[in-house]
Amino acid sequence: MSREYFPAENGIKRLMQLAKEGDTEAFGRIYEIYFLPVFRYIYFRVQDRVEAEDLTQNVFLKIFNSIENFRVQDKSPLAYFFTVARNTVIDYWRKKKNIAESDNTKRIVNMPDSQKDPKKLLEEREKEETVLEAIKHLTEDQQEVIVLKFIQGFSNKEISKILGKTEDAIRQIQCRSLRVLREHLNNFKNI
Amino acid sequence: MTENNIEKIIQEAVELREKGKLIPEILSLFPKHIKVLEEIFGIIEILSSEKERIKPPKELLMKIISRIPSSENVTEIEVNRSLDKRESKGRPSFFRFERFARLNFMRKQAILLAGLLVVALVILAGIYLQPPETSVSQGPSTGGQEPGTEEGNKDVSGTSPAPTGAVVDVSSLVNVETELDGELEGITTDVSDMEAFESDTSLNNLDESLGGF
Repeated sequence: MSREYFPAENGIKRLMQLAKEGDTEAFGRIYEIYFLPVFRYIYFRVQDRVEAEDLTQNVFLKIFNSIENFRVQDKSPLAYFFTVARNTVIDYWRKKKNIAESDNTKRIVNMPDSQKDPKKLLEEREKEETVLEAIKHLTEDQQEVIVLKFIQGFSNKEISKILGKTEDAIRQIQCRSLRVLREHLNNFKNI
Repeated sequence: MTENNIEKIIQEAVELREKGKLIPEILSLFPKHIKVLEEIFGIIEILSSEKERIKPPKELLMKIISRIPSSENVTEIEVNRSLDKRESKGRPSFFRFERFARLNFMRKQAILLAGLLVVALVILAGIYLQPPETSVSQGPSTGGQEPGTEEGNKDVSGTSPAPTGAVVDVSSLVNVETELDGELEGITTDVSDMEAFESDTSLNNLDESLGGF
């Protein structure tokens, strides 16, 4: 299972402290560290590339505007970033639900990948899309755990800080999610 | 098989995988659930591969950073800002000269610290060495030496240097030099007194008068 590399938390806390004091270089460094993970998380939660880009921008702007309120001693920077990202996604879905019913058949925008054999590419893409389609059938908590654990590669400890749940709860959600995904995929094969 | 049982098996298998156990080994531990676990590990592999596939456009990060309002420079040193984006090599230019300013400030701190260290070494040398008569005197011509250089011409009289051959920075140690000179005067005065004492023949007479006690 691949793991996203993050500098040690103390180093990031130091950067956060500098950013609070107005150090633009520290800001830039923090953004570089968290930009990709936050984007990926939002992408898999909303499953729309354009929306994911917009929402990612919103997340970082919110963080910039609220960094003065961040208490370096008490909170984990990782949890802080993903809490803001999570709330942004929740607000997005709430707004979308108010406008129209969510479209469960919405397809993921294709990512460019021209290196492989087209037939193999198509098979792989179908397999991936099937799994990603099945993710939509999970509850919100389950989706978050699956994305943070298996796509982002965070540890159970980090996920528990982000979601505010115990590690045991995270493990249970994780296993339940995998079981549900497997059932949906088997149902899809049987159709 | 109940759902709870399946979930427990999945949990155990995933934990073993996280600890580094190979998939075939894990499957061999649960022979009755091989099919289930194969499907689970297949799903995990697909999810993990998604990470590499999903990459945001590079311009997005630049766009986000460009929307940050300019903030005050926290360093005390002013640096000329280059607005040439080609120099930034894909990174915003204000990050580069902020770093330069900080490095410059750290360099000056390092030089100050080096000077203090040398002063401390000289004081220690003064305490532990017995400076020769002529070996410590400093000519005005040595005042221009850079820190850390050899004291090749320290001894103007041509006698041998201090026994330890310690390298001393002379140029920046005028005050210490004066103190050492003062001490030297005291020492040489004592030596002169000793010599005078030894050469004083009247004391020989004293010895005789005391009758060889």
